[in-house]
Amino acid sequence: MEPERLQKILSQLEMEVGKTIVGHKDVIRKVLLAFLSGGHVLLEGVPGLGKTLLIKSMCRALGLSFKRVQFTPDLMPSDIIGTQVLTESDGRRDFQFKRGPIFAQVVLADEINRATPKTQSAVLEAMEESQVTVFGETFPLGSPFMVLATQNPIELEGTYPLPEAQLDRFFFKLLVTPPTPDQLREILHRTTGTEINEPTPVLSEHSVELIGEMKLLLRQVIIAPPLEDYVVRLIHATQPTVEKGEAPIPEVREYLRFGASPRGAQAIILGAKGNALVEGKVHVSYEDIESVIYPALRHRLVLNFQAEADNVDADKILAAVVKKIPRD
Amino acid sequence: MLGGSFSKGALPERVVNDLHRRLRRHGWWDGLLKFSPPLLAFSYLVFTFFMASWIGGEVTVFTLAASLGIILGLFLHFGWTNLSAASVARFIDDRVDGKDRFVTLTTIDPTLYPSFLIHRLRREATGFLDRINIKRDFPYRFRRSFFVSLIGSLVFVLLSHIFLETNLYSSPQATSIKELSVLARELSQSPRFAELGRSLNDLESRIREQGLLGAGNEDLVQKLLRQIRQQLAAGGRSGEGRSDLLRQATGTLQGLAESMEKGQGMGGGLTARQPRGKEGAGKELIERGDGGGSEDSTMGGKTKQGGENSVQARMEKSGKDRRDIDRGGKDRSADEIGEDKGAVSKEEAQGKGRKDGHEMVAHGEMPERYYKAGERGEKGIEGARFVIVELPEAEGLSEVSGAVKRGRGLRGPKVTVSNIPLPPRSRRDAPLEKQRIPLEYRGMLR
Repeated sequence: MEPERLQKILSQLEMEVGKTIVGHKDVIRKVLLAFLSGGHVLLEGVPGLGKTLLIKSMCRALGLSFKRVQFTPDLMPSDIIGTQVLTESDGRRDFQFKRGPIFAQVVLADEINRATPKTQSAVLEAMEESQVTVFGETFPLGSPFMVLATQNPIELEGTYPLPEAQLDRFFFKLLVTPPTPDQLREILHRTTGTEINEPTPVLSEHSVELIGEMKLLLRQVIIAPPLEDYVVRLIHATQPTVEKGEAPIPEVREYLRFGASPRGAQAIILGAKGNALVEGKVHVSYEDIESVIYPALRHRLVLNFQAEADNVDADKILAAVVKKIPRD
Repeated sequence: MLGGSFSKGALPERVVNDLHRRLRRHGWWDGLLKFSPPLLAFSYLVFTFFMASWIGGEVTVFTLAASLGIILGLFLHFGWTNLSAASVARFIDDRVDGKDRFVTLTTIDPTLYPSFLIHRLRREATGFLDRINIKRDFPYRFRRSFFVSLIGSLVFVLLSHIFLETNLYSSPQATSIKELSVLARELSQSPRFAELGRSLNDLESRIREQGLLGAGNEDLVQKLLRQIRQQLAAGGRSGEGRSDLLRQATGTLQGLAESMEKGQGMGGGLTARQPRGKEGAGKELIERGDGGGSEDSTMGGKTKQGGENSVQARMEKSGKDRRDIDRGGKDRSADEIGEDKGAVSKEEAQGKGRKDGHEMVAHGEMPERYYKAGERGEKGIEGARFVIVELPEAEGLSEVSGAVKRGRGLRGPKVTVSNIPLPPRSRRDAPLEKQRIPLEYRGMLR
């Protein structure tokens, strides 16, 4: 595949999603990058910001099979994965596996932090290995497969925060912010009138081969060794304890319990490669790396109590890290 | 290629390499300019010390070579390690807004990536080449370090110069040596006074070799210079004046040479003795290590006889001093010295080693070699040469010396006397001693 073609497809996807979503261009792009990288995305934002609509529009534009699961405390794993049901045909009764919504190509796990850890963990194997095991039988999931989860940072009563292990499986964690006044005005125009804009599918369920080429091209994007070293130094700088004593960055030393995992470095590199392709380049630049540092690492840093007490979030720590770590 | 824009066929990697070479040359220049001023300043200082005879030629050469080696090492170190190809590529990227294309092309392994992507990246980078002119965009500029180094070195040289002017050039010793040198050169150019000029030149060389001029000999040199100048002024009128000049100058020169010989033999005289650690507390700097008689004999100018025949006056003065010594109960005549020598010889025979400075003097009439300068022996004044070496504990002998008379005598602790060869004077623990000893034995003490 030519880079120009991929760039054109991504531009079309962004444009189609933009028909229903006002603003959030960066979020849309990052979701597309995660999709091309084979990762999953966690969107966080207060209710009413269009998280679910964004994901639905994205799936419609991608033309892939889509399922939505509303996570609640009484949601069972079988409700997601599927279960054996007793069926009768020709007078003969038999158990048959009824596939759950996880078998769709794109799964929306809405308010994922409201389900119990048991149910949340049911998604773990699916997210990591693109397969599920039911009664000892393993079933492969669709290809491509992507989980888009949302969670609400408020109303935390009765919620079950995602464990670090599960958070680490998300490629990006994107923050959905409130719209600006202009964006809000545009939202009102689009949603309170008679005109309805629906995204047109750019790809289809049968575009698996094309998507595979796109994924391959993304991984072929050139990255220079000095830039890889930069990513390594960034990840290493988030470790509160290093081999030779404490971390050199005070914020890291003071507010972090655990630093970013190697998955974070992988996410940065792949996200930067995807960003380079979207920008029409065939090589990664420092700007590409810095554009994906925050979504790739913010959910991989484990803050300590002091950070919560001082109201310090992961983005502030990452800002300090980026500032302290030189490019060369 | 370095001078202007690049052709469209030029490879970006080649541009990076060209710039790399250019910036490395800049780095070499930076190092050269940064380290040269301190080297030159230090060389100036060392050369100044050499010219002032504070350090010898070998020390000068060694010091300069060592400093040159250090500077060269620093220069090579900073010249070799300050720039990488990736850094150079980054400079180009920053200049042409290349979005890290040059860095990527310079550092990647092309075999790891599809060729169509490499070609495309190279094509994109080539498109940026018309934005860059290496000579224009990367000219050589003097770095701040050079100016800091230059200013610092100049300040160092200036302060050193001021310090030396106030402490070295303005000192009477240096002035005397300088005047001596000038006069020697002037006289050497005249056939009539060539011999005297050579003698003065030799004297100046000896003074420089032995270090700073002592106070007593400084007066003597000044007197010598004054005599020669006066005689030069008067001697131009008649041939008699010329002979006077030669006679007087030769006499003064001879006295000065004797004084220097004594100083050399005694570790005093022309040489300023250095404090010698703990023992040195009692062995102060003695610039005049000769005895009182010899001092007077060589000085000869304390009576300020001005235009008189200085040689004659000095001889008379010397004889008077000599007689004074002979008359004084504490002064030592040749016989007494001979007796002492005999006593010490007995002690030596008993294995006690040297006791004092009289052990080397034989019994009987004092040999000619113990005559003071100016006293006449069988061979006239030529045969009257001796040196005085005085032990610090030799109170009887020291009392006759001018040094003791002025309260600047040898006040150090007693030095163990034995027949063990004395340590060289260059050692800190070498005993300070004065001892009457024939000139022929002077080599034993060195």
